[in-house]
Order: sequence, then structure tokens, then C-alpha cells
Amino acid sequence: MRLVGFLLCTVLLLVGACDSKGGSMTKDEQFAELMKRPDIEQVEADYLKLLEDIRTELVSRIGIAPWIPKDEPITGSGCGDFPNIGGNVRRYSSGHSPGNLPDAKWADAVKIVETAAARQGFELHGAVVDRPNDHEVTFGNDYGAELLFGTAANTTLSISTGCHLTRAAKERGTPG
Amino acid sequence: MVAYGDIRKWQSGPLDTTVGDLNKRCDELLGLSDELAASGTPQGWSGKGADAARTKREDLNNRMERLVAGVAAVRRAMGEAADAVEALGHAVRETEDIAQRNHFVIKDDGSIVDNAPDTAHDPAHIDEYFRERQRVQTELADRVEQAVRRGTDVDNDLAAILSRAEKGEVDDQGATTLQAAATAGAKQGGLSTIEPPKNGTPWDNAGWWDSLSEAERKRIIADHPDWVGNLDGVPGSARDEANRNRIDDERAKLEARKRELEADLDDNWFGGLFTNADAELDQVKAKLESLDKIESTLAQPGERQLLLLNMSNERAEAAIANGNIDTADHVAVFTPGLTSTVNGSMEGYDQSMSDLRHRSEEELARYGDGGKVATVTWIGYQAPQLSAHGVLFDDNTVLDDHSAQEGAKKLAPFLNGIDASRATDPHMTALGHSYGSTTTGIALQQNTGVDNAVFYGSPGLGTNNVDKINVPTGGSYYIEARNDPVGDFGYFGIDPSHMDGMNHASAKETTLPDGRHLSESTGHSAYMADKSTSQYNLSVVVGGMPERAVRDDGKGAGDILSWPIPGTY
Repeated sequence: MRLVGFLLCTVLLLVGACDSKGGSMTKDEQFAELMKRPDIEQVEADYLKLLEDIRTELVSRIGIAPWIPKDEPITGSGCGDFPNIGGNVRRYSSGHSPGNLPDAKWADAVKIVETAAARQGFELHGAVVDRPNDHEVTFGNDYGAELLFGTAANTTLSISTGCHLTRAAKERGTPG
Repeated sequence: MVAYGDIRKWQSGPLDTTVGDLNKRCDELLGLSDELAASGTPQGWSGKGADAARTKREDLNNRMERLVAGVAAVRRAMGEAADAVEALGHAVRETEDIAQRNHFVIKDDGSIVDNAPDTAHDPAHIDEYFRERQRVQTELADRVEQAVRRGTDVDNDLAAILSRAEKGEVDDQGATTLQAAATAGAKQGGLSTIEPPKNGTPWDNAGWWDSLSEAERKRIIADHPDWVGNLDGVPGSARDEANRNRIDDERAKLEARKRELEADLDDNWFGGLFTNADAELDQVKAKLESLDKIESTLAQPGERQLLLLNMSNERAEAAIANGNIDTADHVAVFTPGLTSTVNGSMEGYDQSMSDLRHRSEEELARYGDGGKVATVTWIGYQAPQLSAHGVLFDDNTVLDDHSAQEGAKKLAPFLNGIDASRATDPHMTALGHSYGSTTTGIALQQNTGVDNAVFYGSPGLGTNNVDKINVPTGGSYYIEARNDPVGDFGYFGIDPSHMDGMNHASAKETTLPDGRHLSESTGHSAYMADKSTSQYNLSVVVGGMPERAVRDDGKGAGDILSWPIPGTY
């Protein structure tokens, strides 16, 4: 009895476990959704430029220390939300600007980031952390990307993209 | 056989000096080439005397060519022996360092003596103290054994070449010039490439790899990648390079088999009705898809290491690291469960491991020591499948722990291999989900050197007793989400929710003290969802900050039903 229950339970769970974003769509629907989005190469060029603009402005207008890049500034993987159709997510890190961005300048810094990020369709989603000497805000866009800007011991800035096809996959027009 | 005490004293310097001397001698001999040619019989001289002189000179020529061939062979042998002794010296120093750090003494006969100072140990932790002592002692014994094997091999090879040179047995291979004789001789002076130990432990394998020169390692990765790609104890970077070298060969073999099976099926009126050709064809196609998935995963930006590639079983097996297991401060190895395959699951799990690594490093940057993390997806076993055949007729059915037992036999040395391949052990965490937690639980009942374990959505850990999980006391964690009945089944041991001594971490919606909001994961398959409480808990344990974990016993209605009756387990 215990054995039958275990088996039944496992089957039901696996059948019902597909509750992620792309999980409710068929493979073709998922691909069609991704076809509407810009390709990952375009996204990469746009987001890297955005990060560079923000870093430059923060240094020149807020006066934070120059940014120290990370050893591995770009990482990526396939898409868990849209599995097995050749989608990609990327994570772009700006490394860190040493030191805390003072509370008195935090609001101005967020305004700079918000204005620049809006050019790529990012909207401020709110504060993740907001306490003296420790702040982080998050921005998102329609493709599921997330821009994080924060300061504690150091100031950090990064973007995680949503799921995007490669240019080659979009030109091919079929799931990879 | 040479003794460990002899190898300890070996130095490459004198061998290098000899190579320098031999270079000079060889150059001097080659410099005689023109003189020898000029010493021919003068023009116009004929008769018996001239014939005798010509014969004498040819004889001198031949003797010179053999001599040069012999010197060239010895010169190369000495050079390679110097490199080998240098590498062996490094291996011995690493072994001595491990011994010294852990209060062991290695005697000249290679025996290991425990020299730990007499100190009082907490009786509650005495087992894990002796377990760790045993593990280090085994490592030292295996490393000494490999150093002696390598030393003996170098000694035998060098002695054989010296002996042949002394007896004039190095062949000039029909050379007609001294330069050609030198080239021929050098070809015969190479030392043999020592193969990995047969059925070696991870420490045997590590000891063997450490004893090789850089040139030998490169040659093995290029010419014999199958020796090291899956060899536990060899560094991740070498395994990765070797396994990437193997992908094209594996693909070619599978393509060839696919063509054969397709031809068989085309030639057979009944198709695959009375043979297994159609089933095998499906397996071959799935393996080819697996290679595609592996390549696309490796092509993603950021460092990846292909630590395992095995196409010899029914389904492909592979392990891919996010990050670098050779240099990371924290290494986590994730074992998934039911229905996991390389072609169907690697992409999604790799993303989960990428997210986990990112969150863990972010946490370390914000509140920890800024350490580096590597996360490995290990699909190194034949995980149970959910087809009717897979459940009812397969040895690896989810209804039995056979697959977990077999998987554990491979997972345990994989875990030990990560420690063995490094001069300093990283902080290691084993992660096991669902049936993969059973596999992990059984593997950790061996002596693996793992520091922390996190199980989630587990049908049982292959034991009813958390003390059987061989991680330091208090190092095991369990997460059970709401509406995950698999976690209540207690099928392969009692439900871990009821295990005394198990730490319980939360999967519920949470706001952290710094204000960060984390989402709840529900059901059986959402534990690694990005920005969930369960993923956060995984990230802080992986990053060596378990005190930051959000605690919760995760008990629901299902846990009342799964409560073990005292005395029945």
C-alpha cells in the first residue's frame, strides 16, 4: 500500500509540478513568445552600454570611487522558464565601487540609475533593502530582466536578463 | 623497487647537470662529423692499403654513429628523468605537507604513523575525529604508494636505457650521418608514460597525477583523454580539457552506431519488433542529444568544467561545474532524482546551479568573506525514469534503492576526488533533491570529506539515523516545502523531518532582517527557484554561512501521518 501510494504520489507531483512561467505554454507557444523579444546579442550590447553609462554617471556626478571589474563579468545559462528551446539568460556584473555610497546621496544616485534604465524599458520595482548605510533597489522590464543597484560595504550594479533567443535561432525560426 | 625514503632524497639538479654535460659531449661528437668526412682516403690512392683504410674508416663511422645514438638516447632519458624527478619532488612535498598539517609522520619505508598530540576529545564527536584521521591516513598511504610506483617506473626506465647505451645496443637505425644517428638515438631515449593506477582510489589517482611532469600531463590529455576525463582525484581543469577532447570521438562512435541500427531496422521486415534495435536506436539518439546539450551548456558565458562524460550506460551521464572546482573556496555538488537525464535536465539544472552560485557569492560579498563558489550538477548515475518499463521492469526503478546504491558508489569517490585533487580542501556541500537525496544520503554514509549536506523533498536518506550521515555533527539540513508529499513518504528510511539532530530550514515566504523579501516554494520541484527562501537557505549553507539560514521545521499535515512509531525503525 505504501509502495502504491509512493508511486501514485510521485506521478501526480511530476505531472503537476510544471508551474514555472513557460511551463503552462506549449513548446511552440514558448518559442513564439521568445521570437517577439530582441535577440540575446542585441540585449547584451544594449545592457552593457546601459551599465557603462550608469557607472560613468555615478562616478562623475555622485563622486563614488572608480569601479573595480569582476574576474568573470559575464555569466549565463539556458532558460529554466523556457526549457529545451535554446533560450539564454545572461548576468552582467559591474564589479564594485569600493566603499559605501553615503545615505545623503542615495536618492540622487537612484534617480540617475532610474533615468538611464528607463531608456531600456526598466521600471523601478522598489527597495530590496533600505536602512542606514545599506540600500538596494530593483528594476525590471517586460522581458523578465532585473537590474540591481545597491550599496553597503561597497556599491554594486548588475543586470540579469530574461530569456532570449540567439540571433541565429531567431533567423532559423525553429526551436534549437 | 625503490623505497619512499630514497625518493625523498632524489634531486633533479644532478640530472640536469648531467644533461648539460651530455649536451657538450654530444655537440663535440657531432663536431667531428666534418673531420671524419675529410679523413677519407686521398684521391688517387688505390690498392690493398687504400681498401683497408676505407674499411677502417667505415668501421670508425659506424662506431661513431652508434656512440652518438647512445649519447643522444641517454641525453633525452636524463632530461625526461630530471623532469620526472622534479614532478615527483612536488608530489612528495605535497604529501609531506598534508602529513605535517595533520600530525602524521611518514617513515622511510613508507609506513604512516599517527603522531597527533594527546588531547581530550568531546566523546560526542569522537567518531568523526577518528573518521577524519582514517581518511587522511588513507590519503597519505595512497599518495606514498603512487610516489613509489612512479619512482620505480622512472628508475627502471632510466636504468634500462643506460644499460642499452653502455652495451652499445642503441640502434642508429641505418643512419649515414652523425646528425641522423643522434636523431635516431633520441627516439629511443624517451621514458614510458605511466598509466593511472588500476581501480585506484581518488587519492591514488591524485598521487599519480601529481607525480607527472607538465609535459606528461599535456601528452596524456591530448593522446589519452579517456584515462583522465572521469578519473576522480585529477584536477577539474584537466578533467574538463580531457572530456572536451572526447566529445567529437564519442559523437562519431554514436553516429556510426546510429547508422548501423538504422540499416538493421531498414533491412528487417519486422522492424524492431523481435529485436532491441529500435530501443537501442532511441537510446543512441538520446545520447547524441545529450552531447548537444552538454556542448550548448559549456558554450554559455562564464567558466564551466565538464567533470564527467560517460556514454557506456543506457543513458548518458555527465557532470558540469559552474565555476572552477580547483580554486573555489566553496564547492557544492547537486544530485537530482527521478526522471533526471542529461538531454532533458542538464540545461535547467545548470541554470539553477548558475543562480545558486550567483546568490551564494552575492551573499558572501555582502556579509561573508567574499569567497568564490563552484556549483556542480552531477548526473553521474542512471536515475530512475517514469516510463511504464522504467517503473515496472527496470533495475533502476524508483520503487527500489538499487539506482541510489549504484549512484552512491560513484558519487562518493567523485566527492572525495574534489578534495584529493587540491592541496587545500574547499568547504564542500552535498545537495540532494528527491530520489537524488537518497543517493546522496547513501553516498555520505561513506567517508567523503563533505562538510555540509542539504536534502530537500526527500523520500528518505537510506538511513533512519542522522549520525550515519558522515558530515561534521550539526552539518545536515533538511528543507520540506508545503504540498510536497514526497518529503513525507519516508520510503527509503524515515521522513527526514522527524530525524533527531537534523537541522530544518524553511521554504516559506520570508522577510530577512535586512528587509529582503523571499518567496515561498511549494510542491516538489520549486526548491531551487530564484529568490525563494529555500534557494536562499541553500546559498548560505553552500557559502559556509549556515548561521544565516532561515529555520523552520516545515512540518505539515503529511508529517503527522509520516511520524515514525518509536520502536518500529
